[in-house]
Amino acid sequence: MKISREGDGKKRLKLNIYMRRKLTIAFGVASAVLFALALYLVFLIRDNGESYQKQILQQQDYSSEVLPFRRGAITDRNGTVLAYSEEVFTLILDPSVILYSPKNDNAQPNRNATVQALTEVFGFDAADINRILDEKPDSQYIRYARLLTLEQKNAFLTLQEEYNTAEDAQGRALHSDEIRGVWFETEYKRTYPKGTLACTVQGFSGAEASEGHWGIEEYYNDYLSGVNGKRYSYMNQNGDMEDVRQSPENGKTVVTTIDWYIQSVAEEKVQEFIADNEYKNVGVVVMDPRTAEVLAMATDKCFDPNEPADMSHTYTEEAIQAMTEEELGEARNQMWRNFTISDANSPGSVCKTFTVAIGLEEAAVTPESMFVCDGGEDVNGVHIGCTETHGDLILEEGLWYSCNDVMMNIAARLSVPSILQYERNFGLGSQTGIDLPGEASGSIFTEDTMSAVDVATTSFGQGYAATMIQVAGAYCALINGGYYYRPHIVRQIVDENGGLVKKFEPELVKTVVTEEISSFLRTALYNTVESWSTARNGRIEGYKVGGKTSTAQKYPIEEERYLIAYMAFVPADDPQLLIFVEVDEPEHQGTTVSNEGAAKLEKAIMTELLPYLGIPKTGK
Amino acid sequence: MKVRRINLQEQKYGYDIGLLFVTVFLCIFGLIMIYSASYYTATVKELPANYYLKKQIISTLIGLGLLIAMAAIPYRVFCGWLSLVAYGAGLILIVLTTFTSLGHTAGGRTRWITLFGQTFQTAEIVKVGVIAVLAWLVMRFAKQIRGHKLWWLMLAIAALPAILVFKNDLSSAAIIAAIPIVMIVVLNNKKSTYIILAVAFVLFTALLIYIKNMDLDKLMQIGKWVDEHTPLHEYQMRRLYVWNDPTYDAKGDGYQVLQGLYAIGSGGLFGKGLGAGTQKLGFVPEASNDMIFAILCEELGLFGAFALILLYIFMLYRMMRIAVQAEDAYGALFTVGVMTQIAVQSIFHIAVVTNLLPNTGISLPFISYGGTSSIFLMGEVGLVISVGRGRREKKKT
Repeated sequence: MKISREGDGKKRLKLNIYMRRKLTIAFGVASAVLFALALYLVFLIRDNGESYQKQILQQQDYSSEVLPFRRGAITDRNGTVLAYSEEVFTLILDPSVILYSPKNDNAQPNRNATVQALTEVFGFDAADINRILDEKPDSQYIRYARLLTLEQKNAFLTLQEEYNTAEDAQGRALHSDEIRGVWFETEYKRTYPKGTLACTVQGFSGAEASEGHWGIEEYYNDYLSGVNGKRYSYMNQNGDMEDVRQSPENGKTVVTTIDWYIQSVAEEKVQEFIADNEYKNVGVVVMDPRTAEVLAMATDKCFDPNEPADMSHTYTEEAIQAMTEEELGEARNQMWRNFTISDANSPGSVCKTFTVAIGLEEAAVTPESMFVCDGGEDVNGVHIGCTETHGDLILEEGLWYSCNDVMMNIAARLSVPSILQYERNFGLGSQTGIDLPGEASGSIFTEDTMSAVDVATTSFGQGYAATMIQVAGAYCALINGGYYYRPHIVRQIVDENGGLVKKFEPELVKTVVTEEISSFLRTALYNTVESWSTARNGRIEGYKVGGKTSTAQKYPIEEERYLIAYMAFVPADDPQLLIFVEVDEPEHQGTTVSNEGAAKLEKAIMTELLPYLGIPKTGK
Repeated sequence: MKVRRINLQEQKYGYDIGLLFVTVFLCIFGLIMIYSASYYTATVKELPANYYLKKQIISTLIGLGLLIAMAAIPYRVFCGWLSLVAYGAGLILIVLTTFTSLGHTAGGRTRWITLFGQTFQTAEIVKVGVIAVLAWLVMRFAKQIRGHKLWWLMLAIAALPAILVFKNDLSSAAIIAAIPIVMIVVLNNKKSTYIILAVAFVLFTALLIYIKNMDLDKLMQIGKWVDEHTPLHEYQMRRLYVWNDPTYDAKGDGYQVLQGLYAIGSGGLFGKGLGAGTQKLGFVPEASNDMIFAILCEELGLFGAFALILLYIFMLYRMMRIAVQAEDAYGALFTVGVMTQIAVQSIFHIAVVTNLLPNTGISLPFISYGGTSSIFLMGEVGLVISVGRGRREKKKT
């Protein structure tokens, strides 16, 4: 450094030449670094420009507000709502707005009013809100509460409006602060107003509106689901923000063939039944035999689709406590699945009607054919017994007394291929195609596997497996004049405004027997109920009820497990209502099994429905 | 050493019009960018769209007044106890900001102080104080205290406020620390000092490069270790994670950096046009402040970025000329300090926005929104112009 003497005589320190040089070098370095940064920018833009541009366009989609669709409703055949999606609201806190101070100080003038309003309207904990505001003061989006009702939302908005615009007598703003920084987003909550009613038929929807699990919720998910809309802003060429709103496309309403009253009667009677009886599964299918529309489907398993994981409707508290995690999962699946379509069992004697129908259709027998029951048949050296020795019987009496021997005699006159062809025509051995998920196909023999013994047992409903809907569907055809309609549970799809989107007409699959044979079967089954057989348990005074019992052995025979069933329809000469009840593995003493329980359950249901449906009293 | 008589025939330079012009130009450019970057945020906060612009215009006008005043006053007035007062006042303000309720927090950082109903960013005040006091120190004690001792004293004087702002404002701490270092580089004449500085610089750069290129998982392991074995916490390390890989926590900590990169990358050669950028629409936080260069790149492209960088280089060049020709060491060193502040701050800002340095939250001089910064920077420029006014051109007589 050098000292120079200035005009004022003071010695002053100055930079020397080396220092000035270094100063120049320092400037050079700074300029070089700035240039290097500029160069880096060139590379950054060259290498990533395109992908970043895409990213920007993409995230503008993401960050724009999603307008959720409303999942379609499910109604019964008369429009009674079984499931709908309720508009609820999510409360969003925007701390950056709530805490904003125009003077950029710590005043946060609007904080107290806003927190107080939230506490007042929703009952939130002020301390909790304050904690969030302190922790995330710059956040603009905090989902604070969900599932708020429209009333709650409106209550808040009203309070906000009143508070922010309140004026005193002189017309000046009453409050110096404002309630602000609270937004609401719409979402939908799936609600099943009738609780457990028709739970296994409906299934349930998950947290996402586009999810359906089990039942109609799953099968018709594509109709019930809609497409989310969105709202986003973009800048147009003039530099103005433009709002674009793409409305959501709401889901469609599914109108089922279920009648909620019939469904509730069926469920109520099942619950009464299981309170007094031991069983493994109980299933009830109620159909309109003229169209194979399902009017009700009930099982003993029950859950509330509003709380699908809650098992208390089916299992006792102790049973749930005792279950392992794995067992719990299995038990839940059992609870959600639909026994009437998902389980296939040997249907037993109700299917003797099939054998009679095949015999008649194939002209192997006539209504006048005579049979002798000598207590059983020897088939290829195997003795297959009847319940007793019935002696001489005509064809119809074979049904009255549920005689195995008669059925075996008929079957012996038929060829294996024709038996199997009829079974297929009746919808056995493959899914009926009912519009529900999880349908079992059951199993019948094939031309290669069906032995003479199998022919004999098949004739009285043993040795093959069928689901309840398969048996009920086949019965509809046998008694309605021979027309096999595909069993179905949905009538039509309508849009939000009730406009028809799609109608499901009864689908005629095949004509399985002639009207004449159908008429014979109706009469024979009416007489069966009127006879002194066990089927008389289903008799209802004043009505012409046709019916047939079942007591089937489950395989392996040694385990002594049974399935009892009762099939009934009314009025017998013009069937309008068909009820099929199965009780899987009922209580029994040794090999003595009473099928009374199934008949009584059926009768209890039918008795309630007769006046409701206005079935004519044409019987004795 | 030669004692020279004053020559009244030496020509006076007068006001450095170039420096004045570039400063005013940058400020106006900044106002335009601030409006573009802030109107959306203002609207979202239910404020008038020009809310931030208006505030900044007022600050800029005050700053311009200060600039003219400073330029008119002979700078030597400040070479003395006034420098000490500026430094002391800065220190007191920092202490008040950090340790008392006068401190105002925004964005989780206590960088402001509320006085007379106005908030000030204290670090900006401290920077001037440090520059002034260091220049005065050299001027006053260079004879008495020689070599390394003086250097250590200068470093200590800057270290005190740097440590105090470190926690809330890492970038300001770095700028304050850079001021004495650059001054020492200019003043020093011993090789050993340069070697030490060079080695330290190379080591530090190597460490940065190492961390930047390290595997993120490994870095996070180190972060955990630091969390457990040192007083530092893991959340303080996250800034490094983001720096290492901005897609780490793209919705959280990495959001600002990543969105800034998107903005820069999408601008292309000429940008989307002034005002036509979309990233400021709620995507880039701090769009009018710590991230304004990203918005500038998006809207004006490489062209705009280059133009801005050239303006800074021009400004530094004018200041370098003033420093080199300054009449005394005080004027020269004050100018060196201002140069350092502007150079380091603009380099850091651009490097942070392009993720070449960890995100520390640093504004772009003359461009970013911020009243204190604008006013004090313009005051500093005014003083530099005053230094320039005192120059005399040697004339062969």
